[in-house]
Amino acid sequence: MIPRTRNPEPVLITCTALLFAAAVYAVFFHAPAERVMGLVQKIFYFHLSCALVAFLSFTTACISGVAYLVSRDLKWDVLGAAAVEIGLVFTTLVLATGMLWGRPVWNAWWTWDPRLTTSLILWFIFAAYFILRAAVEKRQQRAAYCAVMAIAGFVDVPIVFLSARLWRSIHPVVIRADGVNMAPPMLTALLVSLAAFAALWGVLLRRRVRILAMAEQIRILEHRLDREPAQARRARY
Amino acid sequence: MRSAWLVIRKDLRAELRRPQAMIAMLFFGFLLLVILDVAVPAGTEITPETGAGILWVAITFSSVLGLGRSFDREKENHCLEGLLLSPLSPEGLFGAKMAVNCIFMGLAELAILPLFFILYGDAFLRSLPALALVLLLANSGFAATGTLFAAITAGADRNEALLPMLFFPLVMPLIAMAVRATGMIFAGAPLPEYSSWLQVMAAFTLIFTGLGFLVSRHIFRD
Amino acid sequence: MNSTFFLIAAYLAIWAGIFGYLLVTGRHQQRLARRLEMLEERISRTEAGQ
Repeated sequence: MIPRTRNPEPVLITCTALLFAAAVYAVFFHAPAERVMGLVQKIFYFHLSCALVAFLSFTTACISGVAYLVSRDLKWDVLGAAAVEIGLVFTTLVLATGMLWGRPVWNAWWTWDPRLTTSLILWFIFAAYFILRAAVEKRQQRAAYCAVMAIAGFVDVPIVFLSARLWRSIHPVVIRADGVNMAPPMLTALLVSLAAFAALWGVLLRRRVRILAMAEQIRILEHRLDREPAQARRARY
Repeated sequence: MRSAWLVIRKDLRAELRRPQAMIAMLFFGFLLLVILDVAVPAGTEITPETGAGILWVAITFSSVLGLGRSFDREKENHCLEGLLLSPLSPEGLFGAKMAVNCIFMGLAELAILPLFFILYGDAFLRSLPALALVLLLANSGFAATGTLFAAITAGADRNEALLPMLFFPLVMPLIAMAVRATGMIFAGAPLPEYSSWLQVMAAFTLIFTGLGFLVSRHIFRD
Repeated sequence: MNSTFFLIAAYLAIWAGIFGYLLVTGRHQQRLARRLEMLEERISRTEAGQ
């Protein structure tokens, strides 16, 4: 299950680190300071990247949920769990940076704006995913339940957004249907940050999937050794 | 279709004989209304929006008690397997349970509402017909999501308080919309002002009913 | 304007989150790899003994 060949992870991490260095350079030295908000606006590049990567995770989780229910192949369950966990990490970062940005700009840590509300509810839904995961023992059953949870959570997103948008929004809209609303150097900085975060996402997802696969392998080997069901060293996900 | 109807009849009759779910829902709903009344400082005027919030807190929390019990009877007697061996399809079972939950919630609300009007003022009474519409939409949305996750928690190994934790995050938009619409109704707004809320609520209900039917085969199989 | 403070805080939060998560998963991975190696060694020993 785990290839014994040369581990490409150091190479991937080095590439990601280089991308991040480029992103930091682009954000702080290439992109100009914003006229109204000033320097704080530089939070934006990583904030939006985190948000998009989080959304990518949850999309992956939903797709692998559907794939699991259709194929009943546990590898989709592993992928889904890995994606949700990474998505949760990035959603936390989005909420944290959003609050730290909102305080100086809107003068409030939190407002019930559509995007903020959606991120928060998403966070709750996918945190609940792990509570559910911990509550079911049987592998197949857990996979099916978690798949449903991931799909339901993803399906909920547009409704949450729609319902929250009926309130007034103060969140800036950067990407509209008719094009992007910012200066070219800023766009470069954003794109480089996005690339960096996408690479990081890939590294993390790969690592998380490997960890889950290893835990699975350990379970199988322990079973083969015919030891007592190891409560003490039950693989933690 | 006929066997789904039989499940509905069976559940209603069992509830009539030993009204476990109804008593839990009503008692909890009443308690919440009283607690919230105590929590609001005496002499505070209850605005329409506050009233709506209080009403929906009571309804949401009492309904989760009823939803949590929707598969209890089958689990106790191990007859979920029997039900699934019968000609009843998983989709039929989901639909039947959803209908039962809808009915229970409606009945509980019939009792919770009068107490709400007693405690928080009968000025809200004139908005009853419009309120019924919101309740109907919210009940079916709650029932769709709740039945789906009640089935999941019934199959989980450690399921204390699992249902609220899975259920509340998902229905949060529904609760928010119901509160907003009810607040407007209590304030005497005409239908066009809150109809967009009702539309989104209907969309929520439709989506989750559809999802429930689609995945019920996978949920009940394990 | 002490908005720079918020800028620094936000970037610190991001870096802390990313490196923290990398560290946690990395250590988890190492722990599992060690355990896996041990198990495989034990299995090869029991199978050789038979």
